[in-house]
Amino acid sequence: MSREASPRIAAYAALGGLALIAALVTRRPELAALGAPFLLVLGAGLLTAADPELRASVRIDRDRLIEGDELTVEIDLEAARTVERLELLLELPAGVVVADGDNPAAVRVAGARTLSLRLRAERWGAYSVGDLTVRARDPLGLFARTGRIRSGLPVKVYPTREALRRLLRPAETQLYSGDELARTKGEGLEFADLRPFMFGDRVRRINWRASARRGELWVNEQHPERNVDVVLFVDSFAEVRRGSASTLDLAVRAAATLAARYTKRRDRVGLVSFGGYLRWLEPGGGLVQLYRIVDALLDTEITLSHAWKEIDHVPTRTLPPQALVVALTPLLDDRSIRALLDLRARGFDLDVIELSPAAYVDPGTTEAEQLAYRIWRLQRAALRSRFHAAGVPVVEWRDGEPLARPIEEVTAFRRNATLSRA
Amino acid sequence: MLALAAVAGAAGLTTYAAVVATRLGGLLAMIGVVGVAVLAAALVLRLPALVMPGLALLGAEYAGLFLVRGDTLDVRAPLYGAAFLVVAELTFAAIELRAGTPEAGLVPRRAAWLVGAAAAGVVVGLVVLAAAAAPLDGGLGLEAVGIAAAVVLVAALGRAAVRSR
Repeated sequence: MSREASPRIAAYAALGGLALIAALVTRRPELAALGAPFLLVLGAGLLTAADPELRASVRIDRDRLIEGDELTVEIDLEAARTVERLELLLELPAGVVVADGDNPAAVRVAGARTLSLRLRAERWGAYSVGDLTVRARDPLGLFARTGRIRSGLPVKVYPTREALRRLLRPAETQLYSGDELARTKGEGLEFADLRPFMFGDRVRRINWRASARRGELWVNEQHPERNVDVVLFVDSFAEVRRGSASTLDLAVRAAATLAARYTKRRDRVGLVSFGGYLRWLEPGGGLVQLYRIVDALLDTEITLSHAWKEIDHVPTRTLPPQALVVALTPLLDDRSIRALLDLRARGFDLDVIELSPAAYVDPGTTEAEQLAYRIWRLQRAALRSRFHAAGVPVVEWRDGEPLARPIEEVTAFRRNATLSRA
Repeated sequence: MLALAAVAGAAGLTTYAAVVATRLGGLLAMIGVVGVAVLAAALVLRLPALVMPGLALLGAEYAGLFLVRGDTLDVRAPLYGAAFLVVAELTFAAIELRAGTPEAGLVPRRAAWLVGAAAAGVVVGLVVLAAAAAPLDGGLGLEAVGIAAAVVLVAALGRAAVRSR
């Protein structure tokens, strides 16, 4: 701990010294009495200013939270000598606030004691909590010892998940069994069609009612239940922010929700974070994959980079064939727009959930500003039309709306639209 | 609050010296008012360097009191010294940056420390006055001892202060 002296040391020494000298020069004992208290405080302060040998450590009760959850931080303090005033500041990252307790706080420490502080995680992210700055003051306030305790306790705050009744259905399913009804016919539970009996068909598949009506054997055909590969494409090239809300927050929340729901159905989920740096997780299933994805999402941030200026498509091996690609993008950066159109041109089943930046943009007050705003909206509408023309549903999702709305809208688009292979 | 108390205390000290003075009270009051103004400036600008000149001016006003009063001993000097210390403490407390909401009991303890220091200052001041009133024969030798003691005391405190940094 570094020690710093109060400016009163110099002031009191000077005043006391001046008073004594003045008393001697003028032969007035009152002046000595005037300076005596200052010299007394100075002497007492110098004698009592010992290192309190303070030790501090920080504990947290949990390291994984969901947005809005609270955690308790306990600061253990132990001092060999009494600290009359100990000032503590727990350094908090942006996104974590104090829910209960004082920060900074000023306390007296005699022996050992523990301070508690309740923190609330307001925004998703991977944080480090527990770095503490302490300043111990001596009883007379002449000296202060300042130190920094680096605990660096990792805390992961997961985004809140949206409630979804159903998920996006892909055009194609994979080979393994799952919960998604395949469009093909095969072994399954869901009735698909009837066909004449062929050699090798099982007897239990014969539809006796249809066979009796037609006078020959007919068998039922079923849709098999298969799993799907879903790739979540998170566009982190650009975001629009207003206060604590941003399009990236929407993207992360949607991606976490979709990843959790698809992995729960035994589907394989992958992640492509397309931004300043291209990062991806190949599709996989299970809880471990879900945590991998969410952990990767927590590290997602907008990184300004021009390294990808010339690359406008996602490398081939990052996406498995017949995968459903769900793009979560504000459609602001040309590179991600070109990459998405490139994916569609390569035949991928693509859905775009547009994280609407319109909610964060002020239309302006002057006529020119409002005209510019309208032109910008028209340009965005034209962009959406480009995607629609390529057979890609683009649905706007605004902050405050449930995610179920764009999911239903995409489903309706896919039901009605004729897929056009670019 | 602390700043207001400090300025009020300084104004009280100034008033005391000006009122007690039998003559040249206006001049003393003027010195005191300048001292209070310098202290107020230190508080407003949060400049600890201005505190010492402000206090020195207040002390100078009090010292000037003896020039106009002659040989009369001011028995209230220890009380004045304690009040002077309280004003200085309040001024520094108002200027120094103190972080954190103090827990219950911290402020009363700090106040108790200050009252204790002031009371001890009064006692020491009384001892000084009593020693000065002792029927000792003066002389060059005794005066030299006094000067040496004062120099040694100030030097020792200064050295301790420098070493403690």
